[in-house]
Amino acid sequence: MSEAALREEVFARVRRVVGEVLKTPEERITLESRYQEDLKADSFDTLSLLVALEEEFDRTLEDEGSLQLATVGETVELILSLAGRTAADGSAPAAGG
Amino acid sequence: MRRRVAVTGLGVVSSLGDGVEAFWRACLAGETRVAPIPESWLAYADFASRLWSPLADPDWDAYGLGRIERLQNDRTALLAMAAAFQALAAAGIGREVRDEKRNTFALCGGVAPERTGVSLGTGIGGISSALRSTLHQALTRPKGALRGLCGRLGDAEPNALMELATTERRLVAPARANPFAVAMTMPNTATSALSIKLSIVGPQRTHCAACASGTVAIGHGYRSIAAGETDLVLAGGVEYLDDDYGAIFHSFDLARTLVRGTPGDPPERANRPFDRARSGFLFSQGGGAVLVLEEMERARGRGAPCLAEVVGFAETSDAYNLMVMEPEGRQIARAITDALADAGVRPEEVDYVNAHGTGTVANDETEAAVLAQIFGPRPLVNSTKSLLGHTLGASGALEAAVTVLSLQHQTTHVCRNLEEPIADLNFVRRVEPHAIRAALSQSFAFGGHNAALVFKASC
Repeated sequence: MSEAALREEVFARVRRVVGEVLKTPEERITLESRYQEDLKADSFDTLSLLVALEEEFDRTLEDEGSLQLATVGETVELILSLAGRTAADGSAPAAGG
Repeated sequence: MRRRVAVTGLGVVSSLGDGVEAFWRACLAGETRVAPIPESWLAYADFASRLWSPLADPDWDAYGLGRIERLQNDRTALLAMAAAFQALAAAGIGREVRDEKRNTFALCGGVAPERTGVSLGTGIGGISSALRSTLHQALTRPKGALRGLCGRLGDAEPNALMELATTERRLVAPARANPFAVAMTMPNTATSALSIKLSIVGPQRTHCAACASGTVAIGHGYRSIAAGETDLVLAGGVEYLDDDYGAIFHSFDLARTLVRGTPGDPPERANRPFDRARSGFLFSQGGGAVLVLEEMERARGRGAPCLAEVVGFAETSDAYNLMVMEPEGRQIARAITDALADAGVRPEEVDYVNAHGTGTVANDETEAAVLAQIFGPRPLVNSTKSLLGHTLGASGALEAAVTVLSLQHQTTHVCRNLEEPIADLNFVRRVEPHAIRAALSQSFAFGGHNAALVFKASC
């Protein structure tokens, strides 16, 4: 899978989860969407997003600074970087399923 | 003046069915669900009892409880919500969305949230969530260390490598920590989750009285309405006991309280409350029941279905032993007679007793003697645990639901597997019409809790 296709797939999955947690129509969620300002996420939502994204990508995000992320795009980049790290480790990829 | 309290709705999630209709049909058919304990547990301990009653997952999505909420809530909270939704629908009380993001509702039909309460019982609360959280914390790094060791050993020591890998695999733990673990673990998790889910702002109370929790919770819900504190209470009990190691089950097994199967006998015959061949109780994975209790005039005013009336409640304590029932049953007898006095019902007016009936040798003996002493051999007696097994803190609520259904339908279920009764009581042996005016549902528990509820058919 090309890097662009992988990024697109991860974004689609992140967008679906964010939409599900925040009850926001997916078409309103972009890479630039800011969790607090644009999507009105509060601290409880942040925790909900964390567990839902961990479930979706089957990996721990808590230790990776996920609670500090400001935008959807930053979340996508974090997951892609973790997937890259996992691939470099030779273990199963986190994203792509 | 004490206000009258009607039961206007019921909701049930159990190993015998999800929903009152399926549950009652299965009860009247004398069904039970018994299975061998998971084979994976046998790697961790030696079990004297190897039978339990597993609980199938309800269709949570059909209840509007999606995967996000399932990650945020202990199973007891989800069971409470599912049972409450059923009960409210049966009572003709709708829900309208209050907060779409949080998936919360407000009750319709003129229900004042300030005059509404939640009263739920649970024996061990969020213990399954607590164990999951503990196992993640305790085992994640040791498992990583073991995997690292396996890598370093390479192929030099193939047997040791295999043993290490097997040990690592057996240390089952959730892959990730759950940031909602504190809220999922606390004993009041189900009560609070239900109050939030339905925007109920009256008193929310969690009753921890071990196996009497559900009965106590309904009793206090009844008292709250009778005293004028509330007009409507969602009352009941929930329990969910599961872990990957069978540790909770094993705790009861070590106490020698659980049913023993007989080699060659079908497992469904092992659970035998009030039978001479009884050997212990059938451990249930869980369940829940919620009753809508409503002030009578309010219920009548809105044309609500009146399934039965709660007319009495009492509770006493053995002050004897944490795990053993006082053998003379003096405080059990007092709980029953006090509940009858509270109801203004004479023993000869009680036509049906839903017994605690666990199937343990000592408890059934004591309970049967107390029933014989107070009621003689006349009223119908059955044990819902002969069908469901023991759901601990949910059992009193499930049995109260059976008592209400028995009054509503003027019949009740058999005492399953009862072949040689231990006492000359009117145990239910076949399903047939009965005239049931007043009925008693009673529970006794570890810790010496004794509680009894009295219901009447007429509203």
